[in-house]
Amino acid sequence: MKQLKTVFAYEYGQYLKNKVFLVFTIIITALIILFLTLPPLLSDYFGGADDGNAQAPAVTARTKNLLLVDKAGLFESESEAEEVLLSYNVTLQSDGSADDASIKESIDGGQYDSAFFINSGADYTYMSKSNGITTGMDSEEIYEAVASRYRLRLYEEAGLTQEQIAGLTAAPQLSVIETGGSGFGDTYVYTYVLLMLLYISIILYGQMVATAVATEKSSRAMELLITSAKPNNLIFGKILGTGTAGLTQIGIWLAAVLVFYNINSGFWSQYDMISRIFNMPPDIVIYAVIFYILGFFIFAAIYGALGSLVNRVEEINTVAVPVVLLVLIGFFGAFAAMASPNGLIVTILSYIPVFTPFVMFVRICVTEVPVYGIAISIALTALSAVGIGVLASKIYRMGTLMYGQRPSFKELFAMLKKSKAY
Amino acid sequence: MRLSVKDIEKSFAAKHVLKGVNFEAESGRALGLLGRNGAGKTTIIRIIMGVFPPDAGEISIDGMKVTQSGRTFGYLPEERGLYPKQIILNQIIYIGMLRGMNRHDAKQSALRWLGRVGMTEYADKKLNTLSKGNQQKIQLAATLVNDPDIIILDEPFSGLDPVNAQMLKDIVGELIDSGRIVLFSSHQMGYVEQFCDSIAMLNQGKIVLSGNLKEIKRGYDRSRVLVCADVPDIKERLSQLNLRDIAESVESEESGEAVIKLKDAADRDKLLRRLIDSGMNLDKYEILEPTLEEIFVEKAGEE
Repeated sequence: MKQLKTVFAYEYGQYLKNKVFLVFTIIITALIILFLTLPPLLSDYFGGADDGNAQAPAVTARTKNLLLVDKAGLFESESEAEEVLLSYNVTLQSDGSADDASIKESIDGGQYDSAFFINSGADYTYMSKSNGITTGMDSEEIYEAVASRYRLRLYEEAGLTQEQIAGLTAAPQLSVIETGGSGFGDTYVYTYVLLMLLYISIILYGQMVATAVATEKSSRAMELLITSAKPNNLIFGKILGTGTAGLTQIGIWLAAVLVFYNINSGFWSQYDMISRIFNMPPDIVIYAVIFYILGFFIFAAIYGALGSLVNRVEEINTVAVPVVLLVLIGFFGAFAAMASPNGLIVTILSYIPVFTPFVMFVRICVTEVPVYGIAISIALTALSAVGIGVLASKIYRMGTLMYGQRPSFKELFAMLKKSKAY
Repeated sequence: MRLSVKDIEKSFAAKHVLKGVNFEAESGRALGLLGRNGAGKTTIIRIIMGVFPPDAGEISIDGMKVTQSGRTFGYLPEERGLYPKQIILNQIIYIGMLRGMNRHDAKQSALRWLGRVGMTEYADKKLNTLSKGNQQKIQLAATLVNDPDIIILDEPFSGLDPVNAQMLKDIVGELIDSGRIVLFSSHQMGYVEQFCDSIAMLNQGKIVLSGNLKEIKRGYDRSRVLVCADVPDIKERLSQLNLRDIAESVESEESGEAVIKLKDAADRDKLLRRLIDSGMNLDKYEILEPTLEEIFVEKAGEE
């Protein structure tokens, strides 16, 4: 136990002293702060002041020139049209003097990006250069603005009061309530974010463990280590040290996210997507931490075993391919679980240790998993992590003998069987 | 303290590396573990230190299992064994702590040994910034940081210049005098002859020769005699003595020196008497013992 603590403290300390690790931590932290602080600052600067509405969404610049040929007289002035066409510089032409051909020419010549003809209240023509996917979006946007203007005109002509018009034009609110777990809409965003974090950090820190072990082997440092300490302590100390370093790093990042989100919460809370992430239920946070730790451990153990198999650090990528595939299966299993959390395959996957951290976690997020099921999957994963860790330390021990040719799985298995007695 | 290696067998996959290895080492003595590359030296060293178990046989210290004896090991691996890119002092402290010391003692001891090998000024440097010889001295400090009872040195002299080799010799000499067991594995027979009272020679997984070095040499053929005398043509002079009845051959490669091979080693006195009687003013009369190198080539040379 004392030895394990010594290895752990040394490995953890090495990460904290590692310049690359520190610089990476600082850069990401700086990016987080920048991302969370800059948009609110900019919007205060450009958007907030002129209409006196601090809650205004990010301003859109008027980047497109529109020729609005209004034969029906829906708009009084250009500025009136620009009020509803936020991203356009509108040129209003109400007499219909210009003919189609000359307008087409001015579009081709670049004077206007597009032209919108209001032939009568309910008959419009849109003209623009063929512009791929944005053509449809632009015409839709202008159509909506003009059509609602027309409807408003009709309501006014019918003699309705402002309140009546407001009632007619307001979009009905739809709220979805799903039984059997939390609603898909709410959970989707934060589940997705947590899943991505899990995936990235498992690959990132798992690789670190593999690199640390392989470096020890290629530099022959293990020659002395393995005669000074028990391989189990060396491997588990390394996994714990790297895991804690990873948690420290993620902790710093999350702290930066939380602090700077809260500082700028006035701005960010208007974005539904983002505020949902920060309003995730606390039990989900706890599960995220549990499955993060489990997922890290089981894959770190596998990566540790792989690290002891290779002779040079560069070889890790080759032997790590099956692990990346496993992670990917877990990752896509998790996506499948988002769509149908109680499907047969998904349910089975959620109990297989290497997939549990992804699939079971998503199932917990989007549906109701019985507590004993969660307990069983956590126990299975924890046991497997320890089992694979012990296996890794055996491979590590044997690694001293296996400079040169990497052993085949058959040879490896034979040796592991032999070493059981020890 | 007595380290016994008894009937050790070990095979890896299909390869039978050790086929019943036996030898003993005593405190206050150095044992030379000799053998060609791939003879199984490193394997037996690792089994002694418990890195992996033997398939059969046992290692004991004073009749106890190694783990029960509470004895500590210090190992200097042939393929060095520290992190190249980490701070020297930290690494030595770490090794000391892994071997059971607390941080304070480990640091004191690390500094003491760094001082002993003259490397104090490099304590805060990274290992790979040092020359090979200096790295070797750092390795030695790491090996000895826990003041081990049993010291295993695998090719300790490789990369050392004569001054550093002398320093290592002094340190090893002190360790032997202070009652440690020193196991010394090397190809450099000259050093083995200087340090080791006894040897164990491994060839193809078996001990082909072991025991006290002097006795081993004495057991060799003692029929070759080196004769030195200050005469112009020693070979001519010897042939005039008519030694055919007792000598098989007389060879001289340098002037004033000749090697006489006797038919029977028991005729040594007879030869000496005749030489004295001849009045050739002998400078030297010496029974030629085989060098360890010759013994090694003879015992371990054949495939």
